[in-house]
Amino acid sequence: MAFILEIVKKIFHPSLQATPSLSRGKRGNPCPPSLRAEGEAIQDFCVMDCFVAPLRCAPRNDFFNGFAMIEAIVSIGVIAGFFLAFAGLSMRAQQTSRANAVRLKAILSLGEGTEIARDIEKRNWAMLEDASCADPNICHPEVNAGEWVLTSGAESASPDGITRWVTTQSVARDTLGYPNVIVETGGMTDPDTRRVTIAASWLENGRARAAEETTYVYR
Amino acid sequence: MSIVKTMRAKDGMRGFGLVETLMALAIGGVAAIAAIGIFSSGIKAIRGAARAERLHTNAVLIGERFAYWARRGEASTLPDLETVIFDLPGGATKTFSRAGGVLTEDGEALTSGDVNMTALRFEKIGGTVRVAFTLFVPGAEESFSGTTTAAMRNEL
Repeated sequence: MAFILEIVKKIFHPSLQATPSLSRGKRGNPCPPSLRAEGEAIQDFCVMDCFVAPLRCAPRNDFFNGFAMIEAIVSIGVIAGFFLAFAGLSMRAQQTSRANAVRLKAILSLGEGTEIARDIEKRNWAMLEDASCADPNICHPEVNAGEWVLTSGAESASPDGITRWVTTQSVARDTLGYPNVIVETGGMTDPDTRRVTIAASWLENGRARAAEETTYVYR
Repeated sequence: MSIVKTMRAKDGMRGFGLVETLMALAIGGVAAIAAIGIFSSGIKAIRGAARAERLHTNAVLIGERFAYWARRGEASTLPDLETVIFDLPGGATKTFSRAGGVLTEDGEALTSGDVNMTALRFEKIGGTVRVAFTLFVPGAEESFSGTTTAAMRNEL
């Protein structure tokens, strides 16, 4: 702290507040008269190349000693900061890439669940009405004898840690005649329509993530 | 000798000699090696991430094109594990197959040229066709294995 105060004092020393007239000073050369404050010694030197006077002249021994150290510390700090930021950025890019891969697999898995529901809709409607898969119970798709079937419980986690499950719900409509609309509350249960929700959960950089897709199937 | 002494005294740089130079070079060298290491591994990681994104983009494209044509299919035939032919309404067909390391759609490359495909396998399950595949960039360690299924619905 004292060191910094010393630097600040040096920078704002009255002897450095030279006339702000336009003139050229060359770093390390004696200060041109126009850059020197009145009465300032001729042996003062320009701290850096300049046109404008303030803060540009200093006695060499008073200012140049230690200046290289500050420059070095600041440079090392800036460069270290840059490389740390770059390292952090590249690590983040890798993490994001891995997370994207798992998320994409989860989304493909959800899409597959929807397609499987569509297939079961045509081939085994009773399975979609089965109470063991009706909300709040859950099922997962499996292949059995070359056909898709819904089996109780969630699917065991894939190598990427994705767990998938399916649940079905009855659907209510405002009226069973036409036209009609699906209503969330009230209405009459439509025995020929089921809502199928396919959900997946996975870990993304240690954090739990989940996504779901909902589709309607018709008898 | 006297000239050197005079110059040193004049410049106020007394004491700066070989030891300081060597130390400065050593510190600078270590810092440079560390910096180069961080930079090169960072560049490698970023390039890897970019390659992985290309693989993901190709995987999404495969999933979407495959599902699009499967949904329009009335039936499908699998002449071999790496080929599926969808029979479309009106007598047309759509063929997905692997040729030259890339997935083709009616003979045209579907995946980009710098991405290769391996472990392609089509499977018929009920009224659906399932495709499993692995994408990779030759010469790089990134790969993406995906599976998706589409139900044939005879959609127009």
